[in-house]
Amino acid sequence: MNAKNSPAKRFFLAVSLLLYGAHALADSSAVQATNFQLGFASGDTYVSGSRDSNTYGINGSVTFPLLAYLGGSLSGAYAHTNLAANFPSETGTSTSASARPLCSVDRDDLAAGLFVRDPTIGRVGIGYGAGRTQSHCDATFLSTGTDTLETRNYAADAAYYFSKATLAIARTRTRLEAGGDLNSSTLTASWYPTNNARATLSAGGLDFKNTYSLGLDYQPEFLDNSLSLLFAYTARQQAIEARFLTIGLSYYFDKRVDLITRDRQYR
Amino acid sequence: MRFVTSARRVSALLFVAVLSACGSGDGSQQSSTSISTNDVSFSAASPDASTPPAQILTATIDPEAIYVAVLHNGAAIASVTYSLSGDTAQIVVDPASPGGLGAGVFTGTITVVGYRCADPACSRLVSGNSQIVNVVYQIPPVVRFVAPYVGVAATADTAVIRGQGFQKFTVEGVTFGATAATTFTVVSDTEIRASYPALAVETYPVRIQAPSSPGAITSLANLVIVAAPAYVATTLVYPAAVSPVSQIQALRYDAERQALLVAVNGGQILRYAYAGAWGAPTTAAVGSLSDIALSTDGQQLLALAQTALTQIDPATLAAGTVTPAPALAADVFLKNLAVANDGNAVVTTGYNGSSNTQTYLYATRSPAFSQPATAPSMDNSTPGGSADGSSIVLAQGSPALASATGVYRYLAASQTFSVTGVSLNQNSIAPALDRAATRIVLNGTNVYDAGYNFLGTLPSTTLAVVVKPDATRAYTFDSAASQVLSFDLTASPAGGAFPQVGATAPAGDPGTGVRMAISPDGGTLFLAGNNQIAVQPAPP
Repeated sequence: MNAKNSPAKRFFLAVSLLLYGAHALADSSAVQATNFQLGFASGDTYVSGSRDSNTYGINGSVTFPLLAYLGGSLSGAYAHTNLAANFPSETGTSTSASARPLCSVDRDDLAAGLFVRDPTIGRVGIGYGAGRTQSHCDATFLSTGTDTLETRNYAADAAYYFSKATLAIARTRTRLEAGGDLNSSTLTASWYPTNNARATLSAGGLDFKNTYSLGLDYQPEFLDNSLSLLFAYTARQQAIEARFLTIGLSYYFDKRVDLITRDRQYR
Repeated sequence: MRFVTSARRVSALLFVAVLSACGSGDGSQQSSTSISTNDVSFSAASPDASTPPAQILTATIDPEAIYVAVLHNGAAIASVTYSLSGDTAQIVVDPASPGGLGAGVFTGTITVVGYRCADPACSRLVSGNSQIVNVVYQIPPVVRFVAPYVGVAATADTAVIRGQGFQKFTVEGVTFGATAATTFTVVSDTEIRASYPALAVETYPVRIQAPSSPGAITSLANLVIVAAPAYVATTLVYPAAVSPVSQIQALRYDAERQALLVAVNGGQILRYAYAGAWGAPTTAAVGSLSDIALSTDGQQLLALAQTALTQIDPATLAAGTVTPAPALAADVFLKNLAVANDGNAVVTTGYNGSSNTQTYLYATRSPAFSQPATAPSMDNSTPGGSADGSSIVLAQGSPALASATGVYRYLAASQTFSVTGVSLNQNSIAPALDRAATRIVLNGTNVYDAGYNFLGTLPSTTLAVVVKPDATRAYTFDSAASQVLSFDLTASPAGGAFPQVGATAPAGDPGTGVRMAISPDGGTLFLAGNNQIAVQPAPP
């Protein structure tokens, strides 16, 4: 399916125009000012002790005020993933490591969100996203029978702000094209040891027992608060155990504020 | 105001609590991908066999997977295709062509992986368990040819065995029928050189013993042992239907069937069979006939016409497969051929005048022309081959050319053409070689060794020449003496010329345009000219 002509694309266009047009009238405390960020992320996935896949991609977002306590966001991302296929160790003469086949997929995501926020208390929000994954190997998405899969996801989230910590909960329902739904919940606790550093612990999945994640975000002051570095480690403990290691870099346009302020008043 | 703020805090915490209380369906159910078998094997009788049929596997994909990949590698597998029905995949495994692989044990691997969503938005995938299918493909070696395929009774000799896979599995023995080779050497994956003891008249299947081979080893090669002929000197006349004979294109001796094959007048093949006495010839017409030769295994007579090559039954002269010439430039024609022990015939082309034209290979068992990368363009080239088919020499040019042209050779072992260190312009006498290509006579006068080092000369009055199979003698038909002369090629040349050690007058004057042939034992010479054919015991 061509995403350029998809209903999701048209929906996002309409929502974007609506939300972005509305924010000009807003005098909001949910988002101090419209702000943009652009990021790069790369990561490896490990399954059963061996590298399973590697991913790199770019992402960007804009967050903007709409009404008092009401903000909106639009985001997009592209990622390319090389999926190894867990071939056995290849010591035979006829199979060389160079012959190990790889499967790669490209992923595009668009998302829009609305949220109510009081920077002194917390926020609640809803979101809608659409994604498209296309494979570039001899592989098929089971629900579509093709090399392409589109997804829709609906999310609700809430966060409570303590002085130097945040407790957040999010619930997501992802609808696979021609397939079933995936539901998940994530509980996240964040702590700011300084105003430009954040440590995050999260538990997600069924009963919060399936996926655990540790994230570290650092926004160096000597770079004028224009960049932040992200390191995240995620362990998934399900029938298939997997670990994800991600590093990322984000660049912030114009709004040079410290990290805790950015999290609670800008994005 | 403080009350309002507190109320907000309570509401926010309540919202967090409500959300956290909602169940989720991420699922940690134990499930996996399974497959009907993890081992697939293919086998073919030989590299020459047809491709085995595909095999079908069934995989049941992890029900939580959203994405399934069926990937493969390894030489054994040509392709893997699959179709999905629900969470069941039918996987079709096509093996590679035996001809493309050759002999050996080949492996391949197929991996079936189901991928699950790795995060709530399914923006990442994580692989489930992989099902590995190990593919093993076994192809035993094959013996295709033995050359020369005719041997002489009660005479120990050597032969070149050609095939494929001789170095893939250890060859522990070579047999001719029930008789073991006295010695053998595996020269390459496609060649064995073996010696056989004195054998009785019979046809002996040539086999190799390689116990580690995964299956029976196919042999298509037979060594035919014949009695040394005891032909008396005589002449054979041409039938009235072809008289007068204006040109002899080729003269071949079919030792297996005791028959002489003569190509005359650019359109007739004459076959004189011997059964206690030489009989009247049978004939076959081939338009624009330019050359004839027996195939490596003697099963076909290759009749080369200017625009096609016809396989003819060497006993009945019944025409078989006709293979048209490759696309040739205007005025270019198929000219001559010589047969190598790899089953190919080297086919040269000619042009009415002086021009370089292409050289081709013709595969006798799968009739088709091909043009190897090393095949040279040559000027009206004429080939001459050794009886063991190991080497074919190609002379070119004409005495009218001002500068000498390079002599090429085709080595059957490597199936490549290369230029030799010899340059000359050919005359009407085709290159002559002994059985193992250790002595090479060019232009009927210049004698070289296997390395194309000049050794000495034969008389310039030579009209035709053959080299005794054991390379000890060169027999010429001499214009000055009108006799068959014998020269000792083992002696040191005196004044550059090999010494003459014998002479004999043929039973009758063969006439002009003489072609010569020799029996495998070296005891009988055949001379065909425009007058008649002379059968002549070789002089000492």
